[in-house]
Amino acid sequence: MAMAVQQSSTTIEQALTTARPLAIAALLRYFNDLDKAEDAFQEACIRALKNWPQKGLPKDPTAWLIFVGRNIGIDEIRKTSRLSSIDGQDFAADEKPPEDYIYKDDLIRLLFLCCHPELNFEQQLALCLKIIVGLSVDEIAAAFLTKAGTMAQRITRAKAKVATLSHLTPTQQERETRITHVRTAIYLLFNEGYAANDGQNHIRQLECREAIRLARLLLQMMPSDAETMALLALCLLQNSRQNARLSETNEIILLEQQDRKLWDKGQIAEATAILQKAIRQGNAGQMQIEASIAAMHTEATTYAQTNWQEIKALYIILANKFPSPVINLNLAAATFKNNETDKALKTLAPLADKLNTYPYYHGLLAEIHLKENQPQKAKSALEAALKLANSPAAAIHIREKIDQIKNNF
Amino acid sequence: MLYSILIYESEARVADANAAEQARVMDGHHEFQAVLKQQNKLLNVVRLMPTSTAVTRPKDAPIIDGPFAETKEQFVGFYMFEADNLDEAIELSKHLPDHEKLEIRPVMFYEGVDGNGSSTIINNN
Repeated sequence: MAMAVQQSSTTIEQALTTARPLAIAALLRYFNDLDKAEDAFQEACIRALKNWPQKGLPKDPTAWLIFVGRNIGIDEIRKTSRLSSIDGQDFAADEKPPEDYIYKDDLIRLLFLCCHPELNFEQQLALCLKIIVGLSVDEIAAAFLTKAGTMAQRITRAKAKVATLSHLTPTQQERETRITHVRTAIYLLFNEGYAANDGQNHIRQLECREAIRLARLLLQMMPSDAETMALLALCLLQNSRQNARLSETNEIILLEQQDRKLWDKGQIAEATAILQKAIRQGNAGQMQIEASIAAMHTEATTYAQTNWQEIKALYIILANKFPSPVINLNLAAATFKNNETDKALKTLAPLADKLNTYPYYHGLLAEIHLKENQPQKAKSALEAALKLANSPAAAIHIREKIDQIKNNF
Repeated sequence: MLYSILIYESEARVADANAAEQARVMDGHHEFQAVLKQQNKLLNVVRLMPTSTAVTRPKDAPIIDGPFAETKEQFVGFYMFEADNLDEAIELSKHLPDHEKLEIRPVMFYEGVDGNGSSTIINNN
């Protein structure tokens, strides 16, 4: 019996988690105020936790939460505006939510709002995690390695900013730009979790998981959008390597040394299937090219079999379409791996100023110097990278390389 | 008689499920499979990828991405197994965990392998 109760509470919590994005989005439409929408949802969840264990899950938990949340919010507004309800009759109570109503536009509007171009990326990610995903301020602060107070302030400022912005669905022309912002924010969120995952901070994995969830959600809203397909594929492909990236003692294992048997085949298969769909549409965007590059790595059964020529070709397309120093750095790396060291150095040369504070720039330089038999140059490049290392695991890894050079030369 | 169990589930719920919930569901499936395998009654176990990976070829129209039907539950997989009659099929299905919908449906024609792994053709057409 105790077992059954426990199961149903997991089921209820699960239903609340699943319902959250759509419910908050719909409540935002009613109240036009993020705090009110969040509070109403919170209160509706408390009632659900009281009601559902006995009565069982409603047929449509999301609709139930929206309906109850809306009534709670309306009551709240009445109280604060000192209006009493007429004859105690609740004007919203008999209005049933439409059975199969899909709140697509609401959710897209909420995503647009949280990823509004007027907000900086830090604010966008914080808002997505707080409002759509429903993480606590403490959890988000831990994820971004900041203090809870700082994060609370960041969220308050972002919300204040949002309150001044239009909640209206953008025009068709604005839409594509705005969706690009949403995709970028989701990918940044994923990368936040992925790049800095040192095995010690489990919230990092949570960021990856929630980014994938948001990507799925966005794709559900726009199932034909090739770039959104590619976004999900890209996140899944990167995430599939999660279990192979760190040793048992939390040391970084590079792609070259990873045990490919540890890669998550299910995620790779799903990503590949979605990517194939996206490619059929032609006209590859940035996400699609990046996902194609990630897929080239997962396709290789061993590191030696990596098709660097194809990866280089994809980076050239990417660099031509969307020029940026980091993409050129990756192009240089692929060129170097394709045994074209001189060309790689030529690509790297103009990046020196822009990427001086980027650890991977110095890392690649070190690798090239090593191959060129210039250990002293390699060592100083690694020392520069060490100063910029973005996680303890990365620092340990770089220090090991420096020691290797000291021992071997 | 050859039966199928067609499983419908909310993909959103599957995607959001935490480890405990996933384990609970999978335990039920493993139990069902173990019971049927022990009696050499299990023919096929099929789990489909999410509908986001699907394309649809409508009649007289170009291929579209994904099944567009906006239903709350999706067809996520199926079993094929042998049972003496409907009562037994229903009884066996009780080993499975709850899903949005489980449809138990007799099979008209089947070509593949039977519960013992040998090639078979079953034709109730």
